Amino acid sequence: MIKVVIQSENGMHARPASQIVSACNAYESEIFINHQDTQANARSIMNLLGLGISKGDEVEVVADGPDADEAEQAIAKILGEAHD
Amino acid sequence: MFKKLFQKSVTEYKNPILGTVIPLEEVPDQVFSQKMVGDGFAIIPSDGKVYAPVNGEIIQIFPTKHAIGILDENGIEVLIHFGIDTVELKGENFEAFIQKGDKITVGQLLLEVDINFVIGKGKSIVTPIVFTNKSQYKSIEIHTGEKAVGDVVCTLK
Repeated sequence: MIKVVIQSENGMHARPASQIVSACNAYESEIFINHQDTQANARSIMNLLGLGISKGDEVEVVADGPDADEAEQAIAKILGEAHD
Repeated sequence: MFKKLFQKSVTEYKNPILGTVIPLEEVPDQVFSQKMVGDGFAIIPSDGKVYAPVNGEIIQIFPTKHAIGILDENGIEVLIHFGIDTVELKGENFEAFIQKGDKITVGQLLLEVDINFVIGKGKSIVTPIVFTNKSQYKSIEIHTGEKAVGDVVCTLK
C-alpha cells in the first residue's frame, strides 16, 4: 500500500483518470485507490471520477495479485505527478 | 457490483443536447478521440441545456458540474462531459438540476451551461458522451448530423 498526495491542479478529472485506467492495463493485479471511506477500482473511470479528489488530498493505492508491488508503484507515480 | 436482472441486448440513446452529433474521433482532445475513456459520440451544442439520454441513476456529478455519470437501466455507464478542459472553469455558469443518487428519466433536464461564457473563456464546447464500461457492450452505432433533443442518436449492442 502506498500513500500519495494528489498534485494534479484540477484533481482527478478525465485526463488523469484515463491515464490511470490505461496504466492499469499493464498489470494483472486488482488495483484500488482509496480516499477516506471510499474505494475505487482503478480500472473503472467512473469509479475514479466518483472519488471527487482534489489537489492536496491524500489517497492510498492498494493492489492485490502477482504484480501488486509494480502496479502500486506505477499508479502512485501517476497520481503524484502534476499533469495539467 | 451491478446485477443485471433483465439485460436488453440493444440500448438506444436519445440526443441529450440540441446540436450536431459528430464521431468521437473528431473531438479535439485525445483522451476522448482515442477512446481512452470508452466509445461513444460527441455533440457540438447549439444550446446549453443537457437532457437525460436514457433512464437511469446519477452515479457521479463532478463538483465543477461539467461532467455527469449515469448508470443506465441496462447497466451501461454513461459519462456526459460538457466541453473540453471545462473542469478549469470551476463550475462558473454551470447549473445542475440533479445530484448523485437521483433517479432520472429520459428527457429530464440535468444541466444548463452558458455556452457563450464557455466559448468566451476559450474552451471548446464539444461535448463527448462516452460509455465507460467497455466490457458491457460489443458494438456501437451512431447517427451524425444536426439533431433535435430526443432524436435517437446512438445504439449499443
